[in-house]
Amino acid sequence: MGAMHVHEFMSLDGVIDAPVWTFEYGFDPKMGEAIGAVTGRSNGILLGRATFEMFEPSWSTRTVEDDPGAPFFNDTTKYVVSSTLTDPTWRNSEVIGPYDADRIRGLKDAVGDLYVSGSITLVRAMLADGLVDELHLCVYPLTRGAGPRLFPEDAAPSKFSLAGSESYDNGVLYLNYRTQA
Amino acid sequence: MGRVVVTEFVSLDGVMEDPGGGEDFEHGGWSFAFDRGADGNEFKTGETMDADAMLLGRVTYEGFAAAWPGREGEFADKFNTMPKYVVSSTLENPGWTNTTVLSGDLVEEVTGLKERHDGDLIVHGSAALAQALLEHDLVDELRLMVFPVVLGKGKSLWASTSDKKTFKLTDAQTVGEGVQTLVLEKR
Repeated sequence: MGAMHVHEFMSLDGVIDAPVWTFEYGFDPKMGEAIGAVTGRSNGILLGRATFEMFEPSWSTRTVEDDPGAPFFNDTTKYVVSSTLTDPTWRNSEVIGPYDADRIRGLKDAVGDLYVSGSITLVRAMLADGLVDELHLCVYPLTRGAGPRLFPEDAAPSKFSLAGSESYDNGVLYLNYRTQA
Repeated sequence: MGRVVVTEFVSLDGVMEDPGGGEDFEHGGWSFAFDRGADGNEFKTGETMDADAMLLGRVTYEGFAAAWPGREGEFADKFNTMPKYVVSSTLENPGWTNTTVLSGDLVEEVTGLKERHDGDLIVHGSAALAQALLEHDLVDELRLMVFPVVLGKGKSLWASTSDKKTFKLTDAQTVGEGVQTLVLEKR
């Protein structure tokens, strides 16, 4: 069974909306290494429809010369959770239908480690169903004051263990949590 | 010029209610499920020993005033003797040593305190006060001890604010059993 890795850019107050607010902090190369270690062991990408549609125009036109992350996003199979999307145009994409915990368990079995980013609705559902194995949170030193939070009110109570923590020169803190059975 | 230092125990989902237990919250005492280690203890002790005064909301003040006056030791002595300012429009005749009630406009009261004190004015707990200080850009330093647990309910440290609030991360340590400390200064 593969592990489900959830990667999010998050504010201090837990907001994970489209992270345009991260741009002014730049991208620390060491954070790139930390994320690269996660993508490097992932055999597939799992995304909600909205994040998939946001990623496609920005990644599909980029090559490794533009961004070292481009080959991972373009060449790896992307599994998209959606009840409406039918013919994805981004290469190596597969729509797996509406959210179904068993279907995702099956993917973990068949594909191995999976990388998830953004996809708040999907991630909240997987957290509630115990499908997430690791959280990779890049915590930015600001509060947003409003916006969707990774852990909403009434999130399922759960314990984690802190597997890694690293702070970067741009003030971003990377926290790697593992879910506890 | 004093600084307002807000220090909080928070869960991963931002809950700060009753980390030590005893307040009739269903998850009360949740911070004790994790050992914060010697470095974690030092993080908490140091910030109080270094502070000039405490600034508290009424609810947190009343909890502290019921618990601390009988205790002994260096830390308890500091807690009991240091000046305490309570933001409240209802509290009268507070019994705990060295307490002053602030019942005026929050921004004016806190700005005045910062002028009168040279050291840190430390805020523990006090959800509503901490949120108001954040909204009014009065938090000079935020010290968080983040515990690796999601509680799903309870008072959150984070209310909605009218704008984003930016900080500079000046220190981050892992202490004890996967507890993360963050020190953030106003930017």
